[in-house]
Amino acid sequence: MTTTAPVRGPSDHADPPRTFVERVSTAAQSKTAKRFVACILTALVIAVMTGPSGSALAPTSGITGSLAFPRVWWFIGLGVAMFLVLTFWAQLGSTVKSGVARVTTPAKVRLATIRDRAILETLVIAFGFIYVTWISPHDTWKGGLCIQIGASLLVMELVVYLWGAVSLRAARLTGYAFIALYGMLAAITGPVSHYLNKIGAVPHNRPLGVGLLVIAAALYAIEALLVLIAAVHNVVTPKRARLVASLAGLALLIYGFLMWTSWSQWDATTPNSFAHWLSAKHLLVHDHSAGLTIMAIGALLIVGSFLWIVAELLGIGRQARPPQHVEQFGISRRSTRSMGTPALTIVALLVAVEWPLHMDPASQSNLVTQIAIYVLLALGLNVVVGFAGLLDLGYVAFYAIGAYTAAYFTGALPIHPPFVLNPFFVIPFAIVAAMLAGVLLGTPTLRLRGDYLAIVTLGFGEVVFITANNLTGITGGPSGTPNLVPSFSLHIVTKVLKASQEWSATSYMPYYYLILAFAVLFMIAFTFLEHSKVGRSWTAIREDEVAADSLGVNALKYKVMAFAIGASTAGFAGVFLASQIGSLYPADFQVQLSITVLVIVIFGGMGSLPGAVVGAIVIQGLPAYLQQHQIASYNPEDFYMYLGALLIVMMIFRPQGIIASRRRRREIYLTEHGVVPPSSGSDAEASVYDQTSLDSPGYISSETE
Amino acid sequence: MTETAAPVLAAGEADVLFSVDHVTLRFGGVTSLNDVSLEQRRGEILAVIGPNGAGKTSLFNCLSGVYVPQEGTITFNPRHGDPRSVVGVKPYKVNRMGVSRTFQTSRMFNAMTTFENVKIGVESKQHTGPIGAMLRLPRTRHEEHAGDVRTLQLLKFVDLEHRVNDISSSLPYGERRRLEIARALGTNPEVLLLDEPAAGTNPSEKLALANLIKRVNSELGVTILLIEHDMKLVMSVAERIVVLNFGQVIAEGSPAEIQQNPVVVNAYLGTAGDAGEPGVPAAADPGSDVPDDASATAVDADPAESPEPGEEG
Repeated sequence: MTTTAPVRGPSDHADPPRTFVERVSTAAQSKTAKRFVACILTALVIAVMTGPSGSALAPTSGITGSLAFPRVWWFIGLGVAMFLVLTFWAQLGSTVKSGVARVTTPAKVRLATIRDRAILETLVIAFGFIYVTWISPHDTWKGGLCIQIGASLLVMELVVYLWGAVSLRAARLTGYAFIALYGMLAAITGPVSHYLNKIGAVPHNRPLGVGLLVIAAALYAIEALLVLIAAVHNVVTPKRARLVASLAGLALLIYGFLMWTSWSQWDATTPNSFAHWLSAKHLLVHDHSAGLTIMAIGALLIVGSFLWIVAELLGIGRQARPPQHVEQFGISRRSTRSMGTPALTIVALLVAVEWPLHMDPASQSNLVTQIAIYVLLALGLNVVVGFAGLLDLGYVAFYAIGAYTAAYFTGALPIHPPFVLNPFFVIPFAIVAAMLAGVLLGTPTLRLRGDYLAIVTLGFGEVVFITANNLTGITGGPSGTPNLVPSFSLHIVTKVLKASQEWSATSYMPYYYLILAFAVLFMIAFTFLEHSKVGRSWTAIREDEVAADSLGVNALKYKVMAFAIGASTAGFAGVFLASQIGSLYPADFQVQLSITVLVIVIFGGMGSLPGAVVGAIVIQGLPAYLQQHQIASYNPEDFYMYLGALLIVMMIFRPQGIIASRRRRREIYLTEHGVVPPSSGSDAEASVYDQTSLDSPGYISSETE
Repeated sequence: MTETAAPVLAAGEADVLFSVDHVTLRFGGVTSLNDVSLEQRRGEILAVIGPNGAGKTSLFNCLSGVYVPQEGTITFNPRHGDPRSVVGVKPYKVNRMGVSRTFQTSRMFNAMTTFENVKIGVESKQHTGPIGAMLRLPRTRHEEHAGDVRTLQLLKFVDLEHRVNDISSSLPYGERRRLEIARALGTNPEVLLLDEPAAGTNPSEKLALANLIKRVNSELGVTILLIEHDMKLVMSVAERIVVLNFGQVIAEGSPAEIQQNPVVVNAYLGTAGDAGEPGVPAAADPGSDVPDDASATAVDADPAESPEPGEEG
C-alpha cells in the first residue's frame, strides 16, 4: 500500500526525528560520525604536534602556525584517509590478506623445503649488493666476497633442490670449488684472468682472491674433519665439536691478533713482524676493528669450550644418558621460539658489524649513546617484564646503582675506594651490587601483585634518584661526579706480546663493538634461559600461579630470580654508561628513562629478544636520526608525547609488539578471543616448519647425513 | 618410571600415608570443614564424595597446602623419611613432599604446548639454576634430556603422544583432563589428589579416565585420593569411600556399603524417611534435583564390578 510506505524505514522502531536539529543530533550520535570526528581531531593534534613550536612571548603562535591554511588541508586529508581506512578496514583487510596469502603461502612452503640455508644465502647476496651499491660503493672487497660466497652456496642448494638424489655433501664440495676457482682467478695474473678481468667477470683484486681461497680451504678443511670424525665415530659428539670449536677459536684469535697488532704500536717496535710479512703477501689485511672482533669471537669460542671441558672433567652433570632418543618424536621446539630464523640472525649480525663503519661520526655517536646502551637495558628489562610478567617501573635505579658502583671503584666519587680498578674489572662488582639491590627490593615486594609491585618499584627508582641527588658528599650531587670515570682500556705488555687498546669516549666504533659483543652474549644467554626450565617456570607462573605452585614451582624464588637478572643487566649497562660519558649526573637516572625502556620492550614485543633490539633502534634511533638530519620539525622535548601516543596505538593495534614472542602472542590471542589462534596455535610459518620437520624425514636425514 | 613396583600393603591397615585428624576449617563464620578425620592407606584409591558444598575441595586445599585449617593436624607419611605435618606448609613444598593434585576447573598453562605443560611438572624438582640455564652447562643439558624423555613417557602413559606439539587449550575436555593428570604425575608424587577429574567429559572419556586412574594406581604405584560427582566412576574405581556432608564425615566404607547406607542416601536426596526403601526412591524420582549419576548409582553400579587392584600385592 502506498500510504504506509513512507512510514517504513530503517529507523522504524524509534520515533523518527521531527526537526532538523533532532535529525543532526541523532546522526552525530552514530558510531560513524563519532569516528569521523575522532579522526579529524587526531589529525589536527598530529598537525599541532609536528608544527612549529611556540615561543614564550607568543605561546599561541605554535598552534596558529601549525593550523595555518595551506598546511592544515594536508592533515584534514590525513584525517579523512584515517576515517576511510578505519571504516572500510574489514573489507579492505580481508581482501588484502587473502591476496597476500595467495602469494605468500606457496612461497613459504617452497622456502621451507630449502629452509634456512637458502634464505641465508639469498640474504647474504642481497647484503653484498647493498654493501657495494649503498653502504660503501668504493669498497668492493667485502661486498664482492659476500655475493660470491652466497651465490656459490645458493647454486649448491639449488642443485640439491632440483636433483634431490645428489647428496648434500657432494653439492657442498662443488659449491666450495666455485669459491676457490673464483678466488684463484681474482688473485693470479694470467692470460685467463686478464681476459675475464677485461670483460668484467672477475675483479683483479688480490686480497679478495686470497680471502676467497682461504675461505674455501677452511670450508674444505671443516668438511674433511667432519668426514674423518664421521668415519671414526659415526657421529659428531659434543666433546669433539668442542675440541674443533676451541681449535677454530685459537686460529681466529691468532689471525685477529695479527690483524689488530699490525695496526697498533706493534708496528713501531718491530717493523719486520710476521704480520707485516703476511700483509706484504696479501694474506692479511690491516683492519683494526675487524681484528678486534675476530679476536673476540675466537676468545669466546675458546673460553666456551674450555668451560665445557672443565665442567665435564669435574663431572658436573655426568649421568647415564637415557637410552631413548627424544628427537624421534619430533618435538617442535619452534613452537616456543620467537620469530626469526638463524639466517636472519646471521645477516643481522653482518649488518650490525659492517654498517656502522660507514656512518658519519654523529650517527656513530648516536648509535652508542642512544641505541646500544638502551639495547642492553631493554634486554634486561625484557627478562623482568617479558619473561616473568612483572611490571618494574624503577628499573633505572639498578642502572644508576651499576653506574655509581663503577664510579666508586674507579675513584671518580668524592669518597675513595680501597683499590682503584680498570672499568673492565668493575663489571663484576657492579653486577653484584645491582643484583643485591634487586634481591633486597624483590624479596619483600614480589609478594605483592600487579599494580602494587609497579608502585613500589616506581618509589624505589625515585629513592635512588633522590639519594644520588642529595648525598653530595658521596655521589657529588647534582653537579656530577668530581672526577672522570676512565675509559675501558686493555694493556698487555710482555716480552712476546705487546698490545694496548683504549675504548676512548671520543672514538665510538671500538666502544660500539664492545657493547655489541656483550649484547650478543646476553641475547644468547637469555635465549637459552627462555627455553630452559627457568623460562618455562616463568611462563607457568605468569599464566597460572596457583597451578604452577601445585607443581612444585616456587613462584617467589623465580620472580626474585627474574628481578635479579634484570637488575644485574642494568648494572652492567651502568658501567658502560659511566665509562662512556665519564661524569655521572643524577639527572641521567630519572623515571622517564625507566618508562622509555619499558616502552622499548612493549613496542618491540614483550618476551622477544630481537624485539628489544628493534624497539631500541626505532624508539631511540629514530628521534636521534630526525634530530640530526633536521627532518620534519621534530622537537626533542616532545619525545615523551610521541612515546605516549605510540604506546596507545600499539596497545590498540598490536599489543603483542612488533616482533612478538610466540608464547606472548598466543596468550594475548587467548585472552582476547578465548580460543587458540588458528592453525593449531602458531602462525602459518611455524606450522609449515613443523610439517616439514615432521612429515619429511627424508629431508632431515639428507641434512644430517 | 622407575618405581613400577606395585604398591605393597604388607603392613596392612597400619601403613597410613595421609592422616587427617580433627581438622576444622572456617571462613569467617562459615565452617567449611568441621572436625574431619580420615586416613588414607598407602596404595589405595580413596574417594571423597558428598553433595555440593560439602567441603570436598576445601579438604583438598588443606591437604595440598592452599588452605591452613584452624584446628587439627594433617600428617603426611612419605615412603622415605619421617612423617611430616602439612599444615601451614606452602603448596610448592607440599608438592615436593610427594603430594600432587589436579584442579576442579582445568588449570592448564593455556599458551604452552602439551609437552611443555607436562615438562614443567617434571622439571620442578631438577637442580638447574639460572647460571646453568644461561650457559647450557652439561648438567642442564642432561637434565633437559632426562626431562624430555620422562615427559614423553608420561604423555604416552596417558595416551596423548599424538598431541605433543599442540597448544594445551586446543585439546578437547577429556584430553585436557588426562593432560592434567600427566602433569601432576610429572612431579613424581606418592599420592595424587584428583579433584573431579571427570567433570565435563563424555561417557567414553569417563571410561578411559577410570581405566587411567586404575593404571596410575596399579602400574605406577601412586596412591589416589579422588573427589568425584560421577557415582559410576567412583563406584568402579574406588576401593574405599568417605562421604562428607556439611563439612562432616557422615560415612566411610567400601562402595557396596556406601550404596546401602541410609545416611548417605539422605544426604544426597534429602530426608528419605517416609519415602521408603533407600536407594529405590532415587531411581523412581526423576524430578528431583539430584544429578542423574547419583540416582543411577543405586541401580546401575554393580558392586561386583568394583575391582580391588593392589590387594594381592
